[in-house]
Amino acid sequence: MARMKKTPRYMRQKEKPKDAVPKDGNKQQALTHQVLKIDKNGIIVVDEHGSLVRDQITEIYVWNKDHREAAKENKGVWTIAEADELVIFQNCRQNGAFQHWKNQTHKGWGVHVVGGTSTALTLGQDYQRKDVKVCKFVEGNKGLWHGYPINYRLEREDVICDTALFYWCNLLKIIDKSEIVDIKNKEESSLI
Amino acid sequence: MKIVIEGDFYDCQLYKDRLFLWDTWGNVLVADIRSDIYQSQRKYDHRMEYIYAGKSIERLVLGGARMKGGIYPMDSAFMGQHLYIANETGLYRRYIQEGKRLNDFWKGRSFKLFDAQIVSLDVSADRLMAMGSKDGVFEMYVQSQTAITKWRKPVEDKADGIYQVNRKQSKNVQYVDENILSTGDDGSLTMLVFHNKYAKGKDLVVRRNLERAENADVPALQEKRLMLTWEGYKSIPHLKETNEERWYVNRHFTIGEAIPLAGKPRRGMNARFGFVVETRKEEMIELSSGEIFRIPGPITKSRVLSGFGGKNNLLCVVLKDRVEITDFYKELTKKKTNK
Repeated sequence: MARMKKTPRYMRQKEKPKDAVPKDGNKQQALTHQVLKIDKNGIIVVDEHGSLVRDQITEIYVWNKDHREAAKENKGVWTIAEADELVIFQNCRQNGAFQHWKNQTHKGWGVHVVGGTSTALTLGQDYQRKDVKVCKFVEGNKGLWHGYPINYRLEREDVICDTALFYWCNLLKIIDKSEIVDIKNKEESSLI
Repeated sequence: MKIVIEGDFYDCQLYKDRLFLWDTWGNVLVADIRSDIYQSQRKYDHRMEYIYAGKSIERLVLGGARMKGGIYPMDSAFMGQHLYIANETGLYRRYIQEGKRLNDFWKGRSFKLFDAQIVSLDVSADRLMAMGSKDGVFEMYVQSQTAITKWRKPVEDKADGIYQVNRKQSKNVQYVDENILSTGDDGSLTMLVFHNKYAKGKDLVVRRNLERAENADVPALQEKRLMLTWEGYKSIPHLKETNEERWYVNRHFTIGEAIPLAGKPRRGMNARFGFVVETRKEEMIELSSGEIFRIPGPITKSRVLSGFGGKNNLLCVVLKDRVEITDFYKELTKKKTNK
């Protein structure tokens, strides 16, 4: 008899926790869940009924402490509430204001707009401690997002993608059409 | 002649007397205005005005298509039956065929040539293209069969004929008499001088930085005697007649009086009828006769186009709710009569 090959350790499926909810046919969206607790070991995610749903989740947003009150040097700081930060991220993902890169992690861009107004409010401070109105979302590990405020004029890599500019110009109407060229050229605009 | 097209557009180009309009949703529309301008076997009349609004635009447009390379491209250029589109993700190309129908135009597929954060494009008459990017100045030669100088190494093996000329980052790139002029973010100005008989494979002669210009903040230099600074638009009178390479080495420029501008200059353009400076708040045009007039309004883009006669005598300005194309045919004829 031919011997059955052992599956290597990294390919073996981990045992599911007992509390896990069985998978449905429909994919559940990640953003409906809340991140309740963040430990050193990992992230514990609990849905509305109080059960663990980590297996079903494709994307998780984390409020990174490095960009909060006790921020490190050379890092942007949020000055808005954590709930608002999550709303900005939701708007970014729902309206496609992010960029796909082949074989790379994704980037997203967001602005803070309250109600039906057409003005962007200040989100926080960049690493030079100046008030800014644009934030950047980064996918560190796959499916694990976090964000921080940036000054788009400082860094070379921070080129705001077209889909984000399209969303801000045509739907939110916080920037003018003529400002798109200036933002891409890293010149002054109403967002700084 | 003046053509006004009402609508929400982002960019405009003219290729073989057909208008290419970029709308704000990422589509490229092809509009046929040739039949209106050459009406019923009449000659081209520069006194006419054409205003297209509402349904009359739909009558013009042959059709639209989506291009690779983003919704808002940084720059675009036509060369050798190809439409080139530059963006922060790279350089894209699409084959374009002349025809009456939409399908005739968009037969080819658009594909990426190479990766770079390209900011500006410029095309010379000899099938050369200069590209300003964050990685430096690139030059592309479309007919890659001919000899190219040895010292310039190709960037990628796949993209045949793309060469890196200068590694300094550049914002605006222009061809001036077979030379490339480029300006950087830090205010530096570079000029790359070639021999005129470029196709025969002669080496590059001089390659120096023009950082010694009196004003360090130089966004664009158009002609040898014209200079743009943050303070305004100035002229350099005595550099006009020099034809040697040495004309700028160890030499300070004497800059003339500045013409004030509203806001920072985005780019400058050199045309037959004069000199154009684009800012966000206004468009300043100095005609070759010395007259200055300004187009107010938030300006998204402006271009000097060549069409209806082959010479670059058209100025296209994309405003908030319309595109204005004005002809400076009068200005050119004025010059001839004076002589």
